[in-house]
Amino acid sequence: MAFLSLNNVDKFYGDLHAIKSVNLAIEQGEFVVFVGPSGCGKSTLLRMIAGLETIDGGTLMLGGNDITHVIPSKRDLAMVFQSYALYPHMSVEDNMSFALRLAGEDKAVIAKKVAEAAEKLDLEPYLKRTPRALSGGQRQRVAIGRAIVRQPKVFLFDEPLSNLDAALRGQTRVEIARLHRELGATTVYVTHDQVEAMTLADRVVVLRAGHIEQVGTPLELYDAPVNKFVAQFIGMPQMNLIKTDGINGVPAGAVEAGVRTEHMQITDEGNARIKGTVELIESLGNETLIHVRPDGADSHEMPLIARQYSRSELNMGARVGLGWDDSQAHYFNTQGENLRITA
Amino acid sequence: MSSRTAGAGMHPGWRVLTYAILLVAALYYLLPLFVMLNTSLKSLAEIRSGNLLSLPQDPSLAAWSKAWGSACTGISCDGVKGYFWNSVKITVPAVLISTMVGAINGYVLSKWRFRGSNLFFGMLLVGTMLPFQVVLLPMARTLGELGLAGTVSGLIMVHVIYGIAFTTLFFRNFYIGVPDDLVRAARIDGAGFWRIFFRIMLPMSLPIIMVSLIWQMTQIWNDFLFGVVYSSGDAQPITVALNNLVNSTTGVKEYNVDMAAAIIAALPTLLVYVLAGSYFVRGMTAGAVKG
Repeated sequence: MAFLSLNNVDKFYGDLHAIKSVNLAIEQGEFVVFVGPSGCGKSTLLRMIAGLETIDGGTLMLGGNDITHVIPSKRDLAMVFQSYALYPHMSVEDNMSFALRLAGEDKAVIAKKVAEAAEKLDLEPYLKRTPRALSGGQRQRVAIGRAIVRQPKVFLFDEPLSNLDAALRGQTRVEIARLHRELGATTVYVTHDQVEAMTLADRVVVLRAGHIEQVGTPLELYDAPVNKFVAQFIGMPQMNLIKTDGINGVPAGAVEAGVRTEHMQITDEGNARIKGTVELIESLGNETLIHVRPDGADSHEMPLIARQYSRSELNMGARVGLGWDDSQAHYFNTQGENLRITA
Repeated sequence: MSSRTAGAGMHPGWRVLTYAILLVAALYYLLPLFVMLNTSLKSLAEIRSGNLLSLPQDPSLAAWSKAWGSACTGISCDGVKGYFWNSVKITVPAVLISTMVGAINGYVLSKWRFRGSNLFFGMLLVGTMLPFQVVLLPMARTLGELGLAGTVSGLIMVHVIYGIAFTTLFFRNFYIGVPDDLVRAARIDGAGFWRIFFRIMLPMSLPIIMVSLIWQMTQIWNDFLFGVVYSSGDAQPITVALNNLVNSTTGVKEYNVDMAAAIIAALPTLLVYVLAGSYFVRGMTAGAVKG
């Protein structure tokens, strides 16, 4: 029996079936990340777990108890919000202790728990300040501290890093990973940033239009996406998609080939599978991205991108061939299913 | 910020002209107040002989004490003091109740939306556009049915009902700018509807509370129409008493007493603006500019 499980969970907004019979089992101590494009329902699903949105069908179980219709504060979980959601008129200390004070916890116990959380997050010098007087990163740490103080069974994070600048985001990401290691708490984390998903998650849940496309470890999703959507969603730059008509040696039923940029090989024109013209070369130092426009492709189509970890001698406008090793390619049928996985 | 930089690159001549225009405008607006104060300190003889703008030769507060304590308003001659306290007794509860109800309404309409809450808010907005005159008769009927006709409580009720549309609008628009996540976080922390309101929302609302208080205070204190229609005799507010005072003459028109009474009637709202005016401006722009 899983620690936190969603069984055929549904959500309706009027006629809109926002969450479509989602099933998911999360083990104790696991770090699960929900990813998906905007509007896929990942935040809604998280709020349903939190109890902030009603569950219109199915059940939600936590630690053997049915919490489908339990009010948020009795579910034994804590949430960190994108906008931090700190109470602006309260000091850091009061923000962190608000839940415990409402629960009527003993003053000495509250003080001890706040002190512990503050120490873990390096917030000790700021306890008397109001959120206004803190930087974005510090505010986010207070929000995390507020969650830690309650020692919940499950931590919920709703895009906690998207309000931070790039440098701080990387730093806070590492900090969240460290905290999860130290606390060993079960965590559900929503993001649209696949780097966060790949680096933080034990398992990633890819959502689209209210249902789960695939659940797996980050590398499983990268190496064996079940369909074109997951293949394109995970990986940056996106996986190249190539129409297979006119290309030799593709499996039966395949209409598109998916080749990750690092598996796309630049060759001489010769008898390459695809011939084209170099449109753009992005030299990033450690890697080089070569954009190639295949012959006959419309100008509004995405160019194919080959990534190599050496500097390129090519110039823009050069004629090249493109090829790939079939063991590293994915082939998709008309439904977008990955033939290698489904076969 | 921008006001400081606006004149930075200006030719000195233009700046002198700007200040000259502002000065003239300020004097123009201050002139009536000056004339009122000036006249209230003069004796009747001096008013009749002298220039409107000349300073009093022998300043005296006699007119003020008469206006406060012994001037005739209609048939009684006890000054405006009783009516001043009537106005206080009407204004204070009416302002507090309408602000409180407006805050709760605004909280519900922004953070606890229900089916039809937008329609409800739209209908409330109509209330801000209704002229006083339209509700006079139905309200008189209602007060009569409730047995509140001609009483201070009745007048308080009228002002509360009429004010709720405005106070709800203020608070609703202010709370729209408060992130919903704040309410969600408080719910997870274990706070319910009222605790979120009293411990999270209300403590953040100082600017809009000030706007609501000032607005309602000004409206209710300065109201004449509801006062004259729904109250009678000893229950009348100061605006009605002022009208009666100015209109009841015993042979001579006592301009100095009229002026003193008028200033007394206007003093509370003036004071509120002087003391809390900066909050008013801040509160009105709070929703428009973030941070």
